[in-house]
Amino acid sequence: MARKLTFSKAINEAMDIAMERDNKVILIGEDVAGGATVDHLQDEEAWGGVFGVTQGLGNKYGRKRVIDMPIAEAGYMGAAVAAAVTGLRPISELMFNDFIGSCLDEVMNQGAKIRYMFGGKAEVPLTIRTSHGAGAGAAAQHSQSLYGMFTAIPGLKVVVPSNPYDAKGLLLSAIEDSDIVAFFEDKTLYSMKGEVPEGYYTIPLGQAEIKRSGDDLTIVAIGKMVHVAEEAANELAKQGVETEIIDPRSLSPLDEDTILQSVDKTGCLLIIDEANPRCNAATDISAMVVDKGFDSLDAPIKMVTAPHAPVPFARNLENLYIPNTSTVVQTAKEMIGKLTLSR
Amino acid sequence: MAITIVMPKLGMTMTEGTIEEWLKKPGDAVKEGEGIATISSDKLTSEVEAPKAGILLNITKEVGEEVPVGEVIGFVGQEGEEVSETISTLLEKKGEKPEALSQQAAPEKTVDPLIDQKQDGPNRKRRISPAARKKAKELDINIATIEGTGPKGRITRRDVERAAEQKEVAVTKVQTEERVVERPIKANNMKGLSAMRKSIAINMQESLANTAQLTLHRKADITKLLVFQKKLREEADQNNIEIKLTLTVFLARAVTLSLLDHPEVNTHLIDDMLQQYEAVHLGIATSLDDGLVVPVVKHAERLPIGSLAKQIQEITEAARAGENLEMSGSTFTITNLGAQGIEYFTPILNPPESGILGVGTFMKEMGLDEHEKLQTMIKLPLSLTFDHRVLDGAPAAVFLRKIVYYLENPYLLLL
Repeated sequence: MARKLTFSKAINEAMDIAMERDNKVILIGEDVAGGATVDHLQDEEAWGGVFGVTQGLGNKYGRKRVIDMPIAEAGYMGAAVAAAVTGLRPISELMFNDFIGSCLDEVMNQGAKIRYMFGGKAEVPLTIRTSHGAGAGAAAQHSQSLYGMFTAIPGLKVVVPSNPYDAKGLLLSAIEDSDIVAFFEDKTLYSMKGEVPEGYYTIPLGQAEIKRSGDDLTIVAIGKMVHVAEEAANELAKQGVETEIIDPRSLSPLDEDTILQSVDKTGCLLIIDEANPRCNAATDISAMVVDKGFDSLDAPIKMVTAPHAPVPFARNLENLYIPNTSTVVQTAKEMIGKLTLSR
Repeated sequence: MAITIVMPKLGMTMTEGTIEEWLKKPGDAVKEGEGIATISSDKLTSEVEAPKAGILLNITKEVGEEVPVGEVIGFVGQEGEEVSETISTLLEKKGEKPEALSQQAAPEKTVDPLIDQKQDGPNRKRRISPAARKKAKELDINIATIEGTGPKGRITRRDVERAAEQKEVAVTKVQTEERVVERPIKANNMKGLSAMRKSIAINMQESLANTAQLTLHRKADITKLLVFQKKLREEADQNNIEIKLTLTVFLARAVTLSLLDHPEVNTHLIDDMLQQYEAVHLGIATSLDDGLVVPVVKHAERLPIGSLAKQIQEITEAARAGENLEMSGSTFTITNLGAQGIEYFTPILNPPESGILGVGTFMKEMGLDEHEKLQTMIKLPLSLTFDHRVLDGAPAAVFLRKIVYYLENPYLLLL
């Protein structure tokens, strides 16, 4: 029986391995150790990050490599970019992706531009770990999924893992990458368990995974939505519809070929994205397929996303906000011809 | 609402079709899917089906007319409906005012296959997915004929594939027909096969299809035979005996004697039953201006060389004169292409015979005689085709050697 770890622990293990292998790897963030400015906790770990993802690393690698920061995103993100440009390999934790507004200049207008503006002579090997996603009752300011925004910015790479195994392998690739990689962790996945091999391994950025094979319908699902897709595929299978599920894993670079090949096979594409419906990853992938795979399409591309609204705090509304299995099944059936359904 | 019947596209390359026959007259009631007319393209013959039930109101193209694909050939509608009304509705449907076009031009208007004739209103546009459209192009399927099963009746890729499967079945059905109406490209003076040509075609095709043919070649030294022939001719002349002592006569005699020696070649194989004959009925292949016949010398074994010569002359002359002759019953055939300069060839068996001897043109060759002296020799190439189901190579070779033996020892032919 292979070893099972939580999503959170898998990410922790990836950072541990990276820090072990390369002493240039440092952690910067709010409460990544959690004892800053508290006298009796100066040498202790109180938090290990707000979700406990960095737990143990402070004690293991010391406060010089696991650095607590004040609530000043612009300041520490700027420091992280600078540290990366000057030779370290920092991992900065942006507690919630919703806070990007506080440090967008450092990420978008400094970090993402440096390699280009210095003619390739400067590198910014920074990994920004951040949490996203609704479902934790964290309300409108702590629940968004903003990877689409990051995907729109050239110079940034964007990774959205859906399971513990991918999270570990992708994070190790992200840390080793010489560009800024925004690494999105769905906060409701932290407790998800899955098989994770011990030791070092990487999953290349820009390589999608086919999670399930089928001939009738392609579902591209991002992050946690892969699990919604899997539930929907089980439902659809009972009705004779074979679904192919693609987890792009990284949105930038995007594995276009895998998606296009699948759509060529099935003729139908449904994209599930928890982000708001305008200008998100789903619309981006949809536009790409219409452009490059028009002749493969047997039905209009459908997108199942959150509504164009802030994430509600009320539980019942929050549940309605997140794309769910029945919506996906219903949408899928609207796309598929009677001939397929009658087979 | 009356709707148009258009010239369908039967194949990728079809640009126009010919009305072969109207199966219905104007005023006839038609059922949906019923054949209204037969049309043909370069490759196919097909029926045009009624797009819906009703009355065939009018036909706009006559039998024999070549009509571009998609052009209107007639109208189906309800009883009492006027065609002019039909035309105007058609034009209205296409968003054009009827007065904008002359009456003559109206029926010429091609009908967009994407207009769903069964539907009215703004949703009349036939829905087809990009993948289905591409597939239809690949598989050469007329999308006007496809029923869409996708959402909102959209034609999907699977609909096209299913239509293609159905079309394949339909194409198989008309294939026999297709062969008959096939028009050879740029053929002048088209005509059917003559009765003789047909019979030759059938016999030769059957021969090759149903027997195991093999041809052996060897030469006979006929130097002595030609001397003998010359001598015999001179003596016949001197005695006023009017016979034509051609080489064929001597060959026929040599073959007859060889067949008597090797009756296993003088056989018919019919339905797995081998019949061996004592009588030798020799077929002499005789070319005519427009074909080939094989008149038969009956009981050649009973005929001394003079009678054989007369018989051969009679039947070949009669055949060339077009007289009705016995053409069947031969047990072995001789065919001669020597006059055309041919050496060896592979004659085709004249079923149900087991052998046929092909005779080539004789030629002078240098060779050594029994005293190892250089001599001019005259050699005759022979080609023996036999049925390997009846004979093996060795006995066939022995038989051919026997013929050669008789030809090389011509006095034996008199016995």
